[in-house]
Formats: sequence, structure tokens, C-alpha cells
Amino acid sequence: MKLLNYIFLAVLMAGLLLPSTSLLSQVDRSQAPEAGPAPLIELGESTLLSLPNGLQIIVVENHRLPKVSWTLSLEYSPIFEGNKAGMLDLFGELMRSGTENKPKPELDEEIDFLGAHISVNPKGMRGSSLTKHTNELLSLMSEVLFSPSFPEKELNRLRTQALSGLLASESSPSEISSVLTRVLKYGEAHPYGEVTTSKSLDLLTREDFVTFHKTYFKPNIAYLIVVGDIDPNTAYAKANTFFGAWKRGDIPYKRWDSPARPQTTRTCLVPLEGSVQSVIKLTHVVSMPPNSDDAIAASVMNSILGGGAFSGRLMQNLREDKAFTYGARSIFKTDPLVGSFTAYADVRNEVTDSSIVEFLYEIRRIMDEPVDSASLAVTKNYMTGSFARSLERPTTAARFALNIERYNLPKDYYSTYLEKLSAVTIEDVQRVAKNYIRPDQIFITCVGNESVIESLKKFSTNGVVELYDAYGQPLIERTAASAGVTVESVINDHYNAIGGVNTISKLKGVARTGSIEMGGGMTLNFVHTANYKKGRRGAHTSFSISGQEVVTNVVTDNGGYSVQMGPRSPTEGNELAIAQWEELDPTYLLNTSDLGLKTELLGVEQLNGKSYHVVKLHKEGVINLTCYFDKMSKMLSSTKAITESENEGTMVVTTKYNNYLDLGDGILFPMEVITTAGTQRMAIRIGSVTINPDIDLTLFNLN
Amino acid sequence: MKYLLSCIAFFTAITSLLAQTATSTSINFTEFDLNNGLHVILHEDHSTPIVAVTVMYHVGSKNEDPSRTGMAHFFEHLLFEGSENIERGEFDHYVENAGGVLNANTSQDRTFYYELLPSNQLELGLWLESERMLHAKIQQIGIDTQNEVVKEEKRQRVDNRPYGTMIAETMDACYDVHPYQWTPIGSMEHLDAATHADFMDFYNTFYVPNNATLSIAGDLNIDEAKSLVRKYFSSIPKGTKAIPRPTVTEPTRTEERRSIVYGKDRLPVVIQAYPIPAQGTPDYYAVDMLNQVLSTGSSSRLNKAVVDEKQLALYCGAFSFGLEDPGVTFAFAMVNMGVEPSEVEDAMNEEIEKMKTDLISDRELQKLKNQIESQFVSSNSTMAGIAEELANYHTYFGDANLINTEIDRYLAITPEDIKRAANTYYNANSRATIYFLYEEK
Repeated sequence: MKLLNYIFLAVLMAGLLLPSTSLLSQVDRSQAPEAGPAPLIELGESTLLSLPNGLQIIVVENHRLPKVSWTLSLEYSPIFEGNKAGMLDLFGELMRSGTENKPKPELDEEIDFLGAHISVNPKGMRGSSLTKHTNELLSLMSEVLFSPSFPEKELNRLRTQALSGLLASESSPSEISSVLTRVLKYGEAHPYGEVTTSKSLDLLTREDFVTFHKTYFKPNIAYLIVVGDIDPNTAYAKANTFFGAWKRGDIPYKRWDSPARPQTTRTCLVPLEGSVQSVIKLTHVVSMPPNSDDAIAASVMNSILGGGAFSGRLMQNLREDKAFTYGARSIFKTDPLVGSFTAYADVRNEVTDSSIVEFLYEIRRIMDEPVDSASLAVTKNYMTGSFARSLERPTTAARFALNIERYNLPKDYYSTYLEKLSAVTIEDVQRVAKNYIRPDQIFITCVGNESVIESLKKFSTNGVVELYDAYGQPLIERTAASAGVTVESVINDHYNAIGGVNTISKLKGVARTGSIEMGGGMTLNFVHTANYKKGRRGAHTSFSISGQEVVTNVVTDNGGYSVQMGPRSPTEGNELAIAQWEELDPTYLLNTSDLGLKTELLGVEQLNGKSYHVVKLHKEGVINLTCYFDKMSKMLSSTKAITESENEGTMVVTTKYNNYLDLGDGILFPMEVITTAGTQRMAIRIGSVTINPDIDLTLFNLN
Repeated sequence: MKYLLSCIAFFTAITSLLAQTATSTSINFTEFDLNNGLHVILHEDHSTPIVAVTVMYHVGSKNEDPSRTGMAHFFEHLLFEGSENIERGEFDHYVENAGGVLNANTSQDRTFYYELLPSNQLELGLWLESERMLHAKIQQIGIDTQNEVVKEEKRQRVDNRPYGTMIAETMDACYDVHPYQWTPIGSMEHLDAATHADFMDFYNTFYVPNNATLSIAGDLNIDEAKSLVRKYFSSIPKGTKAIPRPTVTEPTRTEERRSIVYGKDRLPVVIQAYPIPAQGTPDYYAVDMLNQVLSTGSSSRLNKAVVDEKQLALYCGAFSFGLEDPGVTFAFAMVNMGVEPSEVEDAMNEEIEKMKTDLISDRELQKLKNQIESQFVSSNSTMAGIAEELANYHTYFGDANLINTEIDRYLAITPEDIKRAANTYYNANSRATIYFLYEEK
């Protein structure tokens, strides 16, 4: 009985236990659970409307929260600020700093009282509030939009703050890195590459802001994006009430060049004392507008390499495997004008070069090897998830609608985005990597401890680490020239290297033809004829397009003139004297006495891995010309002319003489001459050179 | 300029002004405890097909052994290394392959893990988090790798970042005995000294269901979610060890502590740190409202006086660092170039003195209320945010419904309360004042 009891009890217990053990064993922990059926991903809806003044309105209705946001977005071509760099950084805050009726404290108080926000930026403005305060908000927004007062006092405040900010950024590795890569990639003469300095901030006047507002804040280039607790009809009516009186205007348009990649890989360092990490970026420009057919494949490729996902190759390699960094990533940025590719990480000093090796390895691997299908699948899943998550915010639907409009995307771009993503193949990924990424034409940049210099040399094509300051300016190292080197010897060496002082000084004339490439993709024909015979000296330059002369310049011993699509204007004074000196004598650099130039040998400068003898030719108020002679080839490599004028401030004109070639006459001429002045860039490419040609002397007639 | 603003954003982000809460429509949720002590909170919302799976462990740097600072944060890194059933490195892979994201962060008071997933992957999130809680695998290779990664994190976020040491220096000046004297990143020497046994002990002590809150928000069905939670979490054994919590109280100071910290950042920063009561206490809300008068919006008093009118600083404001034990409030300014920090400090004091002598006006009070209403409406707009806030309110106050009701505590504050808070807590004798100055080489 007892035994039976025990057996019974055992069975009972087993019976009791069994269900619970079987319940537990339902949890198979060894495998990840299966996903349920995929949920439907629905894009939010948007409505597109427009006012008679051209203002386009995008409304996304979403009543989850009782609030509405209003965003004005202006679309204009990139702005080059030149010697006023920094104006756009201050613009928004200054425009938000008071109206004709309300000084700043009053305006601030009224906005804050509503619990609302209004902010302004050079590309528009944004306001948001609870639905019940909509009218008050829009009234304040339109007041800021139509009658900002740009108070002088507030400009001075913002300028002081910006100057303080500049000082602070001199010790910020990430800020320095962003300035450096911008300057290298786009160049300072491009809107994307400008650098704000204390000098440019000092030049800002209230008028600059007033003019910018007057020129660019127009409804016909604006989108008003309305998101939240409001229906399209109400949004339209309110937009009409508050922005209907906004007047159209003509907006200046400028077409900008897309800067090119560097010709070789350049390694650039900003030494920063006391750095415990190197801020590394490998970067170059990429030509890919947002509506490119390759854009989605490129984003997949970048995601596998180093996009947001933790399983990106750079993150896995540099962090999880090597522990070099807290995070390594890459960005592939499309842009209507010029985009960029950047791979980056902050790493400890000792592993700076090892990290660059790994970056280059991963970049080359994604170009050279097809990605495995599993990685591609993970990445697509990840990107699908990101897309779905982004829809949680109603602003996403508005952004989609805006992008379709401003980037000229197909109307179904986002509704078919997931299909397009899913269609990206292994071949697509490798193709875009190969077509758009160039590790042999990339800037390898580093902001960090100077001690890493030696270890970086091996990465640059010419074995040199270029040094820059916190504003992206080359750190020039200047040393004394060797004993015996003089201004005369350097200039004589130049002429001897290109054919001999004697030969060149005896030239009777030269005729050159070629092409000129101006900014904006314009190309013109170039003809230059110079007669060096005493008594009849003259130089004639013409730029033409389809046989039509656009620019003509004539210089003779008796005077000169220029024609630029209009009446002749005589060349006079210093301008004439300089032109006569440069153009009427084939060995003009030796003849400094006519103009009364003072000459000075400044020494030897190292720049981008080359050494140059630097000679300064100078006459107060007339000319300040610095000439760089390549120490190896002896030839004149570039000049820098500095002019001062009241209107333009300081103007620097640089001229580069590239690719000296002997076309058969024993004299070497530069086949490419690139002149840069402010934002203007002009490249002359020589097609033919004739020495001692027959010259039609009527070219030099002054009447 | 932009990066400076991001410094400020970083600074203000860690200080919770008005712990974000409540919307106009209240947040509904279901909560229950498992037998092992795990607290579970579920919020159902079908607007987007996503789900946030989060676990908040009630352990932060204040629970650390003073000879092992940085342990809680380091441990957070280790818990991505894998488990008995998840190979090293596969944790991220599972989530990203499912179309999700994951991360974690560690504060003085708690450690928070989350996965944001498509809603059909809820079960995956539960499996991952239950693996992490039940039997995480802590191997030497992971310890060695993450030791280096954490050092890089410290270099990047503290040592090589402008003003990166500011918070650590300030907390050090404010606390002598309480563990808030060190920050979550901790000491690298301590991490180097930690042994495998230390980690296992930490895991067995703190990473137990009775010290955790599982908070899930999104496109889910409550009943289904409940049974899935039980399936993965009910078999996890309850912790058997006592969970150490600091019991020390920082003594009240009677004399101001002043110091200067020299570094490589060019613009001076002035910080005044005042001890305040623990978050959730009535006076905590009064101090928070006081700070709002001083710092929220361009018309706030410190901005208006110090930045706009006197033009002494790039930025000036005051924020509470709300903590579970009594925390601190910072009044701080980034000084314009060429301006003496003492001049800025005087200007800050002048505004604070006004708060002590005068009541705020009716209009200013109404402005505060409008701002608070607007902030409460704007918060909790994402599933991830809602899951975290529900977990916060439960962990700290045992009342997740504060997500709907905390606004009333703010709105109950009167001008008299604000004036009293200024007199009681903005006390020059109990504060620590620090100048961060540039050291000329």
C-alpha cells in the first residue's frame, strides 16, 4: 500500500511535473524565434497645394497630438559669400532678433508666452505651437518674415559670439576636421568650401543681411510644409491669410562647377597639441544627385561598408575585432550639385596608421569582391526597417513630398522605395562601389597629435604629409635658400630651363591658340599674339565663342584697350604699366628696373611635397607679386598677385603654370595656365604655339 | 559655432528639465509582475507597425564599488557579447537582420537596453532580452576587446571633446561621500583591475528579474504579448543576493567651494552647482520651475540679461540634474572672448538674487504654464520614448502612471514656491563654483 502510494505519488508528480516541463520545453532557446507575418508598411499621405503668389504648400494631416508645425523652405542655388563668409551662419538668428514693430525682447516674450518656437535660417523658417495658438503663431511668423529689422546692436552681439565661437573651435578636433575636409574637397572658392574667419566676420554689415533677405525670401521659390493637427483646407486658408500678400520676385541663379577629386591620394594633417585621439576622415567628392538611378544601390553599398548598422564592416573590423575605436562609419551623400563619400573614426594615436590600413582594406574589398548574399540580405532588411521606423514621425511624409518636388524624383519614388531596395543586386553593389569610390584619389585627413606624421607618409602618393592649420590653410614651412642663390640666379635658371635666356630674349614674336574653360561649364576659343620687335611691340588677346569675339585685350608701348561685349575702354595707369611689362617682353621677369620693382628672395617653401624658391617682386601701390619656382625643375610654377581696392578689399589672384612642353622649337611653354581670383576660375589650355610667326600688325592698332 | 551648440545640447540633454511626460490624450498601459519579480509594462499603439522592447535594470554607477568605478557602464558593453545561445557578435546581427536597431546606455541610477523592431519581430526582442537576463556569456576575449573600446569611448567623449571633462569635474566638486562623485564612464585603472569573477558577481547581483523592468510599447496585442513575455521570462530565476544601494547622505555644506580647472578649451565656462532634493520630491519640482524661469526660451531671464543685454556670454542657463538620490542644479555660462568670468558670474548672481526677493508676475506664471503644456504635448511622440518613460516612472517612483499625472505636480507650483526654492536651494554657501579656463602653453 505504501509502495503503491509512492508509485501513485510518483506518477502523480510526474503527471504534474510533465505538463510544466513540457511547457518549459516549448521555449526552444537555442533558436531565434520565427518572425510573424510582415506588417504592412503604409506611407503617410500628403496634400500639395499652391497660392497664387507661387508659394507651394505641403500638408500632412495627423491628429495624434494637438500641435501644428509650419516650415518655410526656400530653394535657391548655393550662395558664395566670399569675403563675407559667415554671413549665412548669422543670418537666421539676426532675422529672428526683432521686427520693425517689436524689438527682440518683446518678440522673444510673445513667442515664449505661447509656449511656441520660431526659428529662422538662411533657407527659411520654422514655427510650431499647440493647435489652439495657431493664429498667434502665424501672425508672429509673418511679422518676422515680412518686416525683420536686423538691428545693428543684435548684429554686434552675434558677431561677438561668432568670434568667440571661432576661437573655441581652434581647439575642437571635430570642428577642425570638418573645416579641413570641406576646404580640401570643394576648395575655398566654392560655396561648399568657404571658411569663416575673424576678418570675414568683421566685414559684415547690416546691409548684407537686409539685401539677402530682400533678394531670397520670395514665395515663388518657397515651400510651406504644414504638419500636424490640421486639415489641408484650413492649412490653405491660413497660409493664404498670413502669407498671401507675400510678393513674388526674381531670384538670381548661379550655376556652380562640381569640384573634382584630387588627382592622387593626399594625406593631410592638422597638428593639435595634446590630442589623445586622431580624428580620421577619408573623403572625396562624388558626382551623384539624389535622383540618380544609382542612389539606392549606393546607399546599400555604403550601409554594408559602414552605414548606420552596427554590423557594418568598418564597425565590425575597427571596433569589434581590432578595438581601435568607439565607432567607425561611412557616409555616402548625394547632392544636386556635388556629393561626397567619407569614411571616419576617432582612434587612439598609436593605431592611427593601422586604422587607415583597415579603412583602405575595407574600401578596396567592397570594390574588388562581390558582397556575400547574406550581408546584402541583412543590409536590405536593416534598411527596410529604418524606412518603416522613419514613418513613425509625421514629418517623414512631408519630407518625402518635399524631396519629390525639389529633387525632381519620380512621384512614386517613396511608394516604390522598398521594391527598388529589394531589387538591388550583388553586382549593383560592386558596380557602384567601383564607379564612385576612388581610394587612389582620396584625401586621407587627420586631426591629431603631431607624432603621427611619420606613420602617415606611406599613404600619400608622393610620400608627403601636408600640414594645415585650424582654418584649412596650408602650414607653410619656409627656410633660407642655399648660399649663392639670388633673385637673379633663380629667374635666370627659369629661363634657361625653358629654352635659354639668350634664345628666349631673341624671340621676335609668339602666337598661341587654345581654349579657355570658365566657371559654369563655358568654353571659349583663345588666341594670343605677341610681337616683341622693338618699336612695334604689341600683344593681342582674344576670347571668342563660335567666331564671335567676347573679350579683346590689346597692349602696346603707346597704350592699350580692352573690349568686353561693349565699347572699348582704354587701359591706363598702373594696369597699363604692368601689362606692358608682362606682355611685351619674353624675359620680363629679368627686367624689373623699368617698373622700378623691388625684388627679394624670400627663401624656400615646402608645399604639398615640393620645394619652391620664392621670389617677391614688389612696388608699393602698384604690384605685389610672389613667384614660386620649382626647386627641382627650376621653372616658374605659380604666382600670387595681391591687389588692394576699397570695394573688393584684398583680392588675391593666383596663376598656376602647368605642364611645360616643348612643341618642337626648343622652347617649353606651359600647356595649361589656371588663374583663380576669388570665386572666378579660368583655365587656358594651349593647343598650338608658333614662334616668330608672321604677324598682322593691324591687330595692335589703337584706333 | 555649430559644434559649440552641440556641446550645450549634450550638456542640457543629460539634465532632465521636466522629465518628459503626458500628452493631451493619456497613455494607457497594462502592468504586472512575474513570480520572479520582473515588472512588466505594456503599451498598445497601432499607428506604426513597430515595437520597442526595452529592459531597465535598476543599477548605475552609484551602485558601484568605489574601487571598481565604471563597472556598470562597462558591463553594459559586455552584455552585447552574446549568451549561451547567441554567439559572440550575433546579438546585433539578429536585430539588424530583422530590420531593427538596438543600443543601451548607462546613467548614475540605471542601465537601459532597447531594441526597436518591426512589430512582427516582438518575439525576437523578447528572446534576446531574456537571453541577456538569463545567461549572458562573459568571456575573456569580450572583456579584453570592450576594455579597449570603452577607453576609446572615454577618449572620444571626454578627453578629446571640448569641455568633455566638465561634468566629471563638477560632480567631483559637489560630492565627497556619495557615489555621484564619479560619473558612469568611471576609472580606466579600475576597469583594468577588474577580474572575470568581479563581472560574474556584478551580473548575479544586479542582472536579475527582481531588479528589472520590461517595458514594451507599440503595435502589439496585450494578451499575446503577455503570454510571450511569460514564455521567455518566467523561467528566469529570481536573484538571491542582496542588491546594494547607497545609503550615504552627502552632508550639507556651509561654505562655498571654489575651484579653477585649466584645460585646452579657449572660452571660459562658469559653473555654479547647487545641491537639490531628489527627483520626485515637491521641492524638486519647484527648483525645476525656477530653472524654467531662468532658462527656457530666449525671453528667459539668464538669456535675456547675460547673453542678450549684457552680451557677456554665448550661452547662459540653469538646469537640474535630476537623480534618484539628491542631485544638483547647474547654473552655467559659456563666456564670450575677452570677458572676465567673474563679470559673468556677477551677472548670473544678480538674476538669481531677483528670484529670491521678488515673486514672478502673473504673466510670467502663465508663460511657464503654457510652456509646460506645450512640452508635455510634444513629449512621448515615439514608442521608444514612451517605453522608456514608463520604465523610468516605475523604477524610480513605483508609479508608471506618472507619465499621465506628473504635469499636475508642475502646475501646482506657485510663485511663492519658486521664490522659496530660490532662497532655500540657490544658496551661495552650499554651492560649488568652478571656472574652466584656458591654460596658455
